[in-house]
Amino acid sequence: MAPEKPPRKPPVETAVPPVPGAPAVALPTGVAPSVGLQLPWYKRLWEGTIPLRASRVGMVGFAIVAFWTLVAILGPVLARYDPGDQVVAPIPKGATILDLPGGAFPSTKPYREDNPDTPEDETILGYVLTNSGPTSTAWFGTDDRGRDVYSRLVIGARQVMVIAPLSILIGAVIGILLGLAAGYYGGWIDEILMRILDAIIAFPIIVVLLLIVSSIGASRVTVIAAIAVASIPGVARLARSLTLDLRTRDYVSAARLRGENAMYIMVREIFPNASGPIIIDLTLRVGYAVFAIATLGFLGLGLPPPTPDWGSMVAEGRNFVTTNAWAALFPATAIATLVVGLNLMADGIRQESARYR
Amino acid sequence: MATAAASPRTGTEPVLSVRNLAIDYQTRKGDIPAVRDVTFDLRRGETLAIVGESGCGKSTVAFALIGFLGKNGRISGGSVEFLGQDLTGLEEEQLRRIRGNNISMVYQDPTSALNPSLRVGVQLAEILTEHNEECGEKEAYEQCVAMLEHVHMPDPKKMMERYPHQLSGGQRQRVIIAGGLLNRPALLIMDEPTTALDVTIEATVLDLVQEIKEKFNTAVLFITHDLGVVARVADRVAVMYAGEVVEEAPIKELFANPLHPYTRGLLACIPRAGAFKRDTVLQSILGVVPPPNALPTGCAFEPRCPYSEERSRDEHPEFRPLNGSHSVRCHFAEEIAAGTKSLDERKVHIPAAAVAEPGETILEATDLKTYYAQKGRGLFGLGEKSVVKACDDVDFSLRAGQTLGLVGESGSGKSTVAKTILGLEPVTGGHIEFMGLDLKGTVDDRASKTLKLLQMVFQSPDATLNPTMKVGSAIARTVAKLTDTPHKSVRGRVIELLDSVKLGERYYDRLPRQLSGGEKQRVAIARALAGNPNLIVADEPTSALDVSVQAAVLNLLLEIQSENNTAFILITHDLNVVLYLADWIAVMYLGHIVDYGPREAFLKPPHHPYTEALLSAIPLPDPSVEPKKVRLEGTIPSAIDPPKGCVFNTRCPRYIGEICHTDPKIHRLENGQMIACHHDIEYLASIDPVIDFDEVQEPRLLVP
Repeated sequence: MAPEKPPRKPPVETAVPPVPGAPAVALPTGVAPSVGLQLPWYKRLWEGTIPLRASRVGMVGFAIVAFWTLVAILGPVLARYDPGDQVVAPIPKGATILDLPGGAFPSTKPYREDNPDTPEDETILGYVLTNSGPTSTAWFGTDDRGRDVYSRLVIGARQVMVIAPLSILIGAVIGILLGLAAGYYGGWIDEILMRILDAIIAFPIIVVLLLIVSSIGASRVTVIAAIAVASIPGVARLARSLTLDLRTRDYVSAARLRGENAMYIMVREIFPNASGPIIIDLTLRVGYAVFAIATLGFLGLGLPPPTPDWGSMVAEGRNFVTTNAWAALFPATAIATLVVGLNLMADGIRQESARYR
Repeated sequence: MATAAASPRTGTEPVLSVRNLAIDYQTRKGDIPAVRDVTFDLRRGETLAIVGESGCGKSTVAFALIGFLGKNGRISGGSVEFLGQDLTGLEEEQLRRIRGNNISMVYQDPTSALNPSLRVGVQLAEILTEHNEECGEKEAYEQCVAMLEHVHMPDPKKMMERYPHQLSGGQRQRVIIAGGLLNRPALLIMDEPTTALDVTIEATVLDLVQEIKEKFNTAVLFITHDLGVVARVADRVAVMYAGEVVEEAPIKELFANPLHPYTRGLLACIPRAGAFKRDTVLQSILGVVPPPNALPTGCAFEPRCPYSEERSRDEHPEFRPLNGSHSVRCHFAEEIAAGTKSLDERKVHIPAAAVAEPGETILEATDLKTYYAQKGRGLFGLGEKSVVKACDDVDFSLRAGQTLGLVGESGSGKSTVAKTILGLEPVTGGHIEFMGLDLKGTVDDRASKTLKLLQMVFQSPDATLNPTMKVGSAIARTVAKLTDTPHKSVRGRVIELLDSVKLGERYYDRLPRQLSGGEKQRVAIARALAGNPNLIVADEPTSALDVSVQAAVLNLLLEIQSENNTAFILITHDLNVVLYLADWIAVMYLGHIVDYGPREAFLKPPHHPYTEALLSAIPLPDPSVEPKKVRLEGTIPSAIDPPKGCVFNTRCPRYIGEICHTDPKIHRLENGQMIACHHDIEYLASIDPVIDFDEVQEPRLLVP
């Protein structure tokens, strides 16, 4: 072996590794960082969130969404009342029914000084606290039936945070498969699939939702199904347009040349490379879904009562908005923040991933 | 214009004088020096070419001259003196005025440089009226028409009324050049103006650059990576490496007597005119250009330099004149010039000289046809369908261990032929016989036994590998699909393949984005080799790579060919590469093979008139050879409506008359050559040769 020169910088890479047997000369390539080659899965996942973490807007959105996710998970712990229960306030001693706020009626259940073990004879008469503003007994006030808005909001978060992503996920799986097939095969398959989806798009989304829900009947399953169906055309169109571009890539030809079938090519060669824009689109769509759930609830076609649902809470609160705006304001704010949070998150990812690509 | 008339027509006073120019880019990771210590002069009527591989800072220099460095770029040192005025300290507004009247720039992409919604005439006239308020519209119009005539646009008055999309790529570039010349600028900067154009068009644009330089006495700064183009247009050359000018010399001096090791490396790795794989090897310098944020402290080229010594590591060499006009940035220039400097051979890639011997015929295509049906123009795609004859009546054969070069402009159908053989496009008619098999249908109809015999290496290194799949998995999948290698030994086989393309096991778990262009192309070759194919189709395998990487990849292909006796079909627009690698050559035009024969037949007449034009258009990396000028008019016609009879009749410089509108005569010569032309073979044979290949300089190898 010829004497080797001491390398000046330690991690040097050879651009063209020498033929085996030949003395090695280390040359800096200036490319291909050796980091990130064999990281454990959690580190790779962490790296995958770079586009989100790099964007301040995205992180604000993420914080809002994370807040609501946490609320949804901790719902029963955070709630102070059962969502169907009425908030009962003590009737002050010596007061008659006439002294109570307008519309108040006595509770069938007596009010017990915070202690259920209080003996029967020591209980005070209670009344249902309806249409109240924020108080210490009901932080966000109560609705017209005397239910605690705060508890209903917290428990209702769980409904939204499960239904919205779930319905979009179902819609996305179907939409992506249809889009991949339409884009990859082209020809009459593409024509037929796309014309059918065009037919759905031709209706305003709200009409599609109402048609589906009202024809089958309002239930959790129908709401999920309706939102899923309404989201299919958009996802499919995006997946199709990405596929149309990606299927002309040389690595797809290379896969065909080694005899891969269409399914493998669509799932392993095309889809992973289309996933970036699709993820951004889906994040936005979860926002639309939150909106759709609320709209259906508002129109009385959402989750059947007495399930706490943000949309129907707004609708019920709306009747009394002149006397007590709180009951409508809190659920409306909840919907708005969650939708804005999801939008900010999607925007952040989009901006940053455009920069990294 | 008055200013143009008053300016000196000749003179030794430089128009542009750049001294120790340094440019920094501010990034999140701190300032990055993109250009350091660049010094050159440029006089009227002179072309200075700046040449270097990608990432050397060529374009950055040009952008600095016109003040377009972007938000994060700034000139951090040195001076730029233009017409006696220092541009570095000037305000934006002052700069704009000087630029508008005296400096013009022509960019690489002619499509995006023109506004698609404005007529050519409006865009041209705007240039005059914008910077000169006295110029009336009528005067502007007349000047524009005159200028379009200068750049040889056919029917300039009609051209003024057209929109950019109605012009061809070459015509657009002419319009842009015309626009650049309207203000009679003292300096014309051209940044890779011909890279996006076909060779025949490129040749005419380069002729134009030569002509306008003389006609308008303009100084031209020509930026390119192509040494062939440099040899054709430049008077002087500045070679850039890692943000520095490392050598500057008059054109002939530089090619005959390169002194900087980097320049020597560049010249040793390109195939010279008429070079052949059996006679010459391509040597290249290992490694790549260091990124500007990790420059060596001493000589920037030291880590790759075969001549480097202890001194190069610590001491940054000065850019110094050696003899009058030849300057170089190297400690050992004198010794290198005298030929006394010893060289470290381990830093040079010297290929094994083995070249495969021809075996049996393995591929035979007869009357091969590939047609595409276009959607009709009627409602819902109904109505009469038009047919694109992308490949029509193509015949050729190929023997084991040999390379067939397919040459032609874009749109000539060379890729279609390849894709039809591979089964990526369905065969419309004719036969392909391959190793006793009758190839029909597409890949979906072929058994994996057949598939493994035929593989492909693609053009773009960025699209050839799935960005989400690890290098090892991609090759492993191919091994598993095409061979019966047991599951356990697949990994071993993949590593074997990676070794055979000189990459090795440590590339197994890498993702494509962690590789350089050349490395990606090696992986693609390894993947193609997975099933031990008998035929590999390589579609422009090196056109997206820098020259030194190109040489290494070409050598790798040669080595694979000699080891496995693989046959290659090489598709390329670069005639130098074809003449170097191919044993047989087929020249295609509009889906037809017009000229076909053994490589030697292409070095001297008879040629098909189209081959003659192609040969004349190749930018030869040799300024001492002056090929005969044969230029083609216009562009390749649409394949939907090709000319009747001989397809070349619309552009043929040897057009005879009516007879050319009938099917051409097929001449078959003794050496196997086939020419489809109405001219007598005696006439074609009597034509002067395009290039006198005996005149070509022997390439200067790094290691003799």
